Amino acid sequence: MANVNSNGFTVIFATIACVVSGVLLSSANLGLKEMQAENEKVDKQKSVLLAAGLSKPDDTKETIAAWFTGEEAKIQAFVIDTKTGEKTDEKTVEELLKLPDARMEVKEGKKVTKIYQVIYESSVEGSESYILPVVGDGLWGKMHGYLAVGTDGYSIKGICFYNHKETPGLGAEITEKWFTDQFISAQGKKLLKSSGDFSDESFVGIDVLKGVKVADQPAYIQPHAVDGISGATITSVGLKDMLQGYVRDTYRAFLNGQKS
Amino acid sequence: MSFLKSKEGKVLTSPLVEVNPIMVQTLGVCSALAVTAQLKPSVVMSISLMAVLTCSNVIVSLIRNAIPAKIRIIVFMIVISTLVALADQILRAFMYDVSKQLSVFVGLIITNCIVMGRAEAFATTNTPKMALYDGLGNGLGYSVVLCGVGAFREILGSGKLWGQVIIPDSLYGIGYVNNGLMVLAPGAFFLIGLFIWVSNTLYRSGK
Repeated sequence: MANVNSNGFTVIFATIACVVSGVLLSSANLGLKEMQAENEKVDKQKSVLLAAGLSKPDDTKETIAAWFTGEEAKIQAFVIDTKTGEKTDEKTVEELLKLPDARMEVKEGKKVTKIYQVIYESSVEGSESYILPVVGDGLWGKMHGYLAVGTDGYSIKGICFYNHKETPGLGAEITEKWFTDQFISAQGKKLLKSSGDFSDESFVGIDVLKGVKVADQPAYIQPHAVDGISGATITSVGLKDMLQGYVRDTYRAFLNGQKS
Repeated sequence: MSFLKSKEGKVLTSPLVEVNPIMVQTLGVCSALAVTAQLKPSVVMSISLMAVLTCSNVIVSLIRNAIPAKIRIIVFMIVISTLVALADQILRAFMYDVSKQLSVFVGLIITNCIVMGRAEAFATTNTPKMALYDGLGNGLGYSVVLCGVGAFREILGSGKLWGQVIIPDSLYGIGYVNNGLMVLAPGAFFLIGLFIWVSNTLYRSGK
């Protein structure tokens, strides 16, 4: 190499470096896309099972898929209109899982007029529940998860987070067993203050407490609160907004229709 | 033990304590604060960093005679970020669980000063073989501190190690409490400070 520091060579080298890097990355992305999408799908399905309390440690891709597809499928997905809470159309799970975050918005001009939300229904004996996709703002990005609610429309059956960017050891504790187990504690967590009453007054959701323990709270607060995470204030606040505001705004109409 | 006495051996072992990237060169402190609240993420971060550092060192060393001096830093950056992004893609396709664990680490590895620092200070002027040893050595040196800090913070901050409770209930019974400071980033500052103090006392006193 005669002169690696000449302007001409610098430009050529920079071009080659960029092209090589670009080709490597884009071909890796294209070539692996299908496998990645498949992994993400299985991971989401696993999270649905986790939230519903149906997951087993020895689950494989096949046993997970068996819950959702085939004739024996115990978990159905359907679409609701969040405004009216009614089921809107029939689609197969395959189609629904392809939807981004399984949430669709229909827009007219710039105004959102209708929001459709895919939710799951477990018809497994003893753990019948609706498994609702939930989204909240964490510290570094969105936190995605599933909240399982009993067929009465207000008692929590479990929660699971499958996609988040929170700090390991702090905010990322939301995926740990000690945190998610709070939602299936013995006395049970409930979205409503008084059973079957879905008004603003009664629909309190779940609070995420900071600085105090749920166990030290009066009995009327305990079903509506979980312990927050030390050192993860922003995550906890985002979770609280998710478990109070987001769940109420998105699912109140649907859940209200389910009270039996 | 003649290998350890050789030039390669020196390059491999000296970053462990003597010229440790965190304790002596004070590089990579940002990630050392961010991920060391527990031992497990510390170990994951250590392994990822070591892999990236070793590969980037070797690649930079291979093309060292062709890199124009004017744009060398940008070229290092391209090499490092391509490596990390590529590894991320492959993990997401074949080892999804691992890639979920790594989520935030990916960005932290690209911006880790150790990788850039070793490319600039060592790989540009040494053969690929030496660069390989240097990458491994510095990766290990980083791991030693990271895992040390991670273990201390998890034990003192949450009474656990690798997620298992190790402080007995009886100790809490007589009034022991977890140190909340250790869970937060400042706890890592104090610990790294102590690590630096100890290493200076052992290796630098009287020099």
